[in-house]
Amino acid sequence: MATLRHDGEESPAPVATALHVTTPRRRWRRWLLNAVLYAGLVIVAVFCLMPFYFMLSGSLMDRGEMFRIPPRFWPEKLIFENYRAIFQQFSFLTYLRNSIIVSVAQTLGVLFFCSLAGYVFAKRRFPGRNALFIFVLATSMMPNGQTTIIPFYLLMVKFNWIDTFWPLIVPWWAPPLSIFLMRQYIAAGIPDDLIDAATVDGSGLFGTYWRIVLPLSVPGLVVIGVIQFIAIWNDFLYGLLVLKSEEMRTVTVALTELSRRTQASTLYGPLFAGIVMATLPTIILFFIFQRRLTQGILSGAIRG
Amino acid sequence: MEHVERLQVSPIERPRRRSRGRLAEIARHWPEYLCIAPFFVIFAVFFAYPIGWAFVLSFQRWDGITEARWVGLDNYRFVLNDPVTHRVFTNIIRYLLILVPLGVFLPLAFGAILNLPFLRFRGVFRTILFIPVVTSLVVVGIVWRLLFGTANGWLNGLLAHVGLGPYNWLKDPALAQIPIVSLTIWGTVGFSTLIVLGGLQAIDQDLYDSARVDGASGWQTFWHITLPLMRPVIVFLLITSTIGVITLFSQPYVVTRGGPANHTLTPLLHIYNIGIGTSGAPRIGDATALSFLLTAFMLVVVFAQLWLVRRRGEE
Amino acid sequence: MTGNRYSRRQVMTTGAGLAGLLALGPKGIAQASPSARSAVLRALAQEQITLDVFVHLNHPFDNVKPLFEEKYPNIILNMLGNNDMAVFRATLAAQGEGTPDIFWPEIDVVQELGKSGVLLDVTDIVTKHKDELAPGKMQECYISSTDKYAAFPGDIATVGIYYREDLLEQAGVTIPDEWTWDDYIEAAKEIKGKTGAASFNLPTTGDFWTSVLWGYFLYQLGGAVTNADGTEITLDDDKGIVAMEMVKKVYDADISIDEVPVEENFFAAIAAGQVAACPLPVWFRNFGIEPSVTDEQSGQGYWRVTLLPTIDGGVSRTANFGGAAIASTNYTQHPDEVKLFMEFALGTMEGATACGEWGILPPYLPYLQSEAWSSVRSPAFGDFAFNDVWTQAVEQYVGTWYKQPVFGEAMIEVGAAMIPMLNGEVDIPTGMREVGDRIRELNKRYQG
Repeated sequence: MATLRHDGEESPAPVATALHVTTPRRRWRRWLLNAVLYAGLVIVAVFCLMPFYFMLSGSLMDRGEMFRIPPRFWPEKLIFENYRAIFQQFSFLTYLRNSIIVSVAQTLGVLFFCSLAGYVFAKRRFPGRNALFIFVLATSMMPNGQTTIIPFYLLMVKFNWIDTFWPLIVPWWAPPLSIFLMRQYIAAGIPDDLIDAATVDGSGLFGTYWRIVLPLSVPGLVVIGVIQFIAIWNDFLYGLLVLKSEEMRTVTVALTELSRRTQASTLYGPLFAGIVMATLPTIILFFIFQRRLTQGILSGAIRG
Repeated sequence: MEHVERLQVSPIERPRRRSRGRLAEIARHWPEYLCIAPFFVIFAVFFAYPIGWAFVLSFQRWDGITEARWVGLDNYRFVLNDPVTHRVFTNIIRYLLILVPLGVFLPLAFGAILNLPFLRFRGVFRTILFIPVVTSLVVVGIVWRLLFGTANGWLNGLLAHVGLGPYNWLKDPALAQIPIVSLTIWGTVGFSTLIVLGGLQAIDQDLYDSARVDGASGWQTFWHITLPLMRPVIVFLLITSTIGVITLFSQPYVVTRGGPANHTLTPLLHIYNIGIGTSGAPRIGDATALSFLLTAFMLVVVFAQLWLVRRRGEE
Repeated sequence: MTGNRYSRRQVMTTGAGLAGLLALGPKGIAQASPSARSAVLRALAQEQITLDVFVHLNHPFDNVKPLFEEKYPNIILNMLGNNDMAVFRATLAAQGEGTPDIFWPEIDVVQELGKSGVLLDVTDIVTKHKDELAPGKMQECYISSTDKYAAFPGDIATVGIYYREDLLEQAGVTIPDEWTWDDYIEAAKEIKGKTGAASFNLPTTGDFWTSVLWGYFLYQLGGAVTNADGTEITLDDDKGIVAMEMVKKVYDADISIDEVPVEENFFAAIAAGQVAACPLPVWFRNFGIEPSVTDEQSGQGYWRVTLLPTIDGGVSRTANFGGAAIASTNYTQHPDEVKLFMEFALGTMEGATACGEWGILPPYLPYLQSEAWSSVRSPAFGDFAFNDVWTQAVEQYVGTWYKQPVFGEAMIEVGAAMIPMLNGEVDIPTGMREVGDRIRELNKRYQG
């Protein structure tokens, strides 16, 4: 398997060498090609980054300025009031804490349950394995969450889980797609010999998982973990539904609430500051794990 | 697909076909079943049960408060004849026609470009392209609304510098899909590009070398080597972007709220609106009926696509 | 200061606290109604009660809360800062699990939930105050099928013309005592030509906000979306068509701001001096004008308000836009305390004053005739006594504007259907007939 062989950064494909024949005409054409390429890439990069610029710019404006006609692109005078407001008027630190609790608890569960199931589906034989695995995959085609909001809520009431974090954590511990990806990763990334050797040494299923599979799956787990963490961090629908009290709200729920208030007139500044503060953690997380994440995806951890 | 075939060939234990009963065989493998049990328990409790409940509700009239009443297929009849249903499916087909080709070709193009070995700053561009993926589309949607404002929107402000506009982005039915489409592309293209890059880098370089020896042009190598080998990735992009479009929710929920005149309303947003009663008594029966129709629609589209790409692959 | 207005029993119900109780003695307690008695007994026991108040952030009740809690130290108001109806409905579907004690529903929601019998019956406190409450608003809270009041009257969302005297003067426009909408449109064209400023708000979003203007005209004509009990759809009758033709006149004259009135973009237009006049609800002063009007460009000190122009065959010089009521459900654990709060917030001078100062129009007539109401001033309006105009509007607030459960969806559908009618792609009688038939079909789904 071509899994970890290629590094995204330093693997020049040999196709390129063919282009390196240098005649003046070719050189000119190449220059033109480069110019078009870089110009295109810069435009795309600007498109990708522009919303972040406006987020930041808006968060530093007072409210009159943000909606000025014609629009302003950068505040005349930098105002940090909005940031103070979200931390003082709104308990943004609490929202952040809640988001972290939910995201971490859910991610850890996903990593454990999905790698365990992925390992069993990849490396163990037992009756009905294929049928069960296909069933797991098929469930990802089931109707979406918006359909079942009312039944889901009623179920949460029966469990006495309203205004707790459980509805945002437990139901999402075993997403079929993550099980599928872990299975693919373990099937390709962990040699059978290793597992056989452990089995010969008398290691049970769980022991093998814990001592062999889990440590060797770390690159795949990082990819799935980061993606999962970001997905939960950004989820809002269920939080909106089950989190009732102010001190239980997660960041996205609080911001969605804030943005939909009819009385939003004076809150756009803090809202934008909140948007910056909500976006920052995932971007930081991305930069921390950037190498592992991109390489994990590049090396096929996510591919079918 | 590839992974299904591979299932058959990863043996740890040699098959021991003894004439033991199947039940005993199953009992012997209890640890395996225990390890995969969490998925099935969670699925049964939190998904299958509510979905089954929703299916029952699709044959009832219920506002969430008073006693539910059986109405047979009346909800399906109403929903199928409802002009708003026709509107949302027209919209979703239009989104499919725009977003699925973009969702497949843009990542392929970006992936191919970012894979060019002579390109400098590849890592930087790749990172920039990926950053939007980690944001919440609901949260960024708030920014998008302001970006696409009419008199004081930032985009119109920029366009005014080159003498264009002002455009009524959020209120002109001909334009209102642009904010939704651009937000969707913005938020997803980085991830798809990375997958394409992964696919391109997994292609065995020897194939290119031998193709060059045979005198194949760059275009021919692309057409006869790259594209066929990228088929699984393309199918993946096709299916994921199709499902993503059919379940579009957050973007119209924040950016246009379905307007103008329902021209950006998606089935899921409509289901949410009528099912939860954002502007009247909840019509839970209609909402659930529509959601099962939507699921059927999704299955038909996805299987039609799978069928199409499979046939082409076998030629 | 208002104590002399109450009978002794009312002092009891409005809970004078421990000192008053001791003065009255056990006899007073025995005389009080059962509900008042239990409230009083709880007050005696000093049992702490928390009422969850499900209203949006920055609400008139924020002003009422400190006054109420001071008067009833054993009751704490927990302002949830959230009024998402989806959440609220989910709690109802869960048989009251997590349902807040007090909420602030729109009138069509009151009618819908009232019909289904889930709302706390507040007939006793409404009838007790019936001479002090605006009749049009009381009518909105009355459920004909059960012959009960399902909510206590909230803010009266009358509509008038907010305008800028400076811009009108600049355009040479003076407002006569009597004028028709046609006169207004002519004046608006004049204003637009001279100052460039708009005189209407007509968002072409094709949703609820688009149909608001049509709703104003329909209201003035004495029409409504449905009949009184919601069994028939009347929006496409002659009145509906005339109202839509009026909107088309406005649209064709190109004198409107194309922004949703409750959004920042419209406020920005006000701030930029692009709005000379606009038919808007009373609550818009605190909501959109005060925050946007801060300087000369936005007309600080020159804002005024007047009644709506007349319409041919019309019955009123005001209209309606929004206007909630205060309600509770049968699931509340503290119905007596809930009623206590309802009465205090909107049926006493103290509560009504607090709400009125926030910027809504409370239904409590003694307050609307008081100096406290009349003397409210704001920087945008200079020394102008805007509330006197609103008191006149309340007199014209008719009770035939029925907001039955289908109202919300009907207004959205009309808004969507308006776009082709305004563009001239569909002629108005046909367009109205089509949307009427569609709503008729939809309305069947609301009838049990």
